[in-house]
Amino acid sequence: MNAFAALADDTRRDIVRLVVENGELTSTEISQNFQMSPPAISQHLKVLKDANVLLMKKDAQKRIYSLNQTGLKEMEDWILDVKNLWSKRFDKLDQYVMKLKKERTNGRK
Amino acid sequence: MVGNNLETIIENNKVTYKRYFDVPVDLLFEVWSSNEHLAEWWGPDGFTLTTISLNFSNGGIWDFVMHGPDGHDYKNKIQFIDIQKPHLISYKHIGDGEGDEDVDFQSKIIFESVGDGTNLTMEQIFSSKAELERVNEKYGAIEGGKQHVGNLAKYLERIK
Repeated sequence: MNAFAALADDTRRDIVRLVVENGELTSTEISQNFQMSPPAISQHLKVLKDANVLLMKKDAQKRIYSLNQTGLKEMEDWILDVKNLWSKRFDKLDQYVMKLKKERTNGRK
Repeated sequence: MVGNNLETIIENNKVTYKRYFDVPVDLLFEVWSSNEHLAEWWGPDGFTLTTISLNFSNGGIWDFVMHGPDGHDYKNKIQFIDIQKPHLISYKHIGDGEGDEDVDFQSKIIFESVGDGTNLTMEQIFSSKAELERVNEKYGAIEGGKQHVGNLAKYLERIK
């Protein structure tokens, strides 16, 4: 699963927001904020880690989560790429339809 | 270039574009519906377009090749899911004819009359990084520096 798919889930977005607000949180601290069972939260955390949205470091028995800037930066970049493409395409479309409009207006005179 | 009034909204795995065109809705719809028109604007600069077949109707296929400035050919196949003249065109990419990988990428274009012009809204729903990368590859490397669109807190605020 990739970052887009990982963040398409409400609970996972809430987890990421919580981590962003606190900088770093242990899996236990994250779980305490949700009604869901800790194993279910662990599963979500695994998805977020695999998608490069969160980083995980181990400290003795604790698993500490923080934001993975790289994964999110990549995501922003993909979106920008697609946006740039369509932005240019719409520019061309705009020029083309304006040209047609002019031609047709003149043709009717 | 021209006054670019493109507005972009990002939520989850969906990107929505909104743009105003100063032409009647019938004309704007028309240029999406025929090969002669599409060839004029669909390809990015430097690209040319060859349509193998175009059946602009519900369930119909648009099979085309884009020829890149680098001499590469990019095959595309689009299937129209829902066409409601002149207000809606919904389509999905059903492969590039070059791989057996499932393509899962959908677009919905909505045309709304406003005064003498038209508001165009386009929703793109993509499902994977691979999909986006493939879309990007279709058009070669997209030039232009990438500005950073702001810090993550803002970003997450937007994708709520």
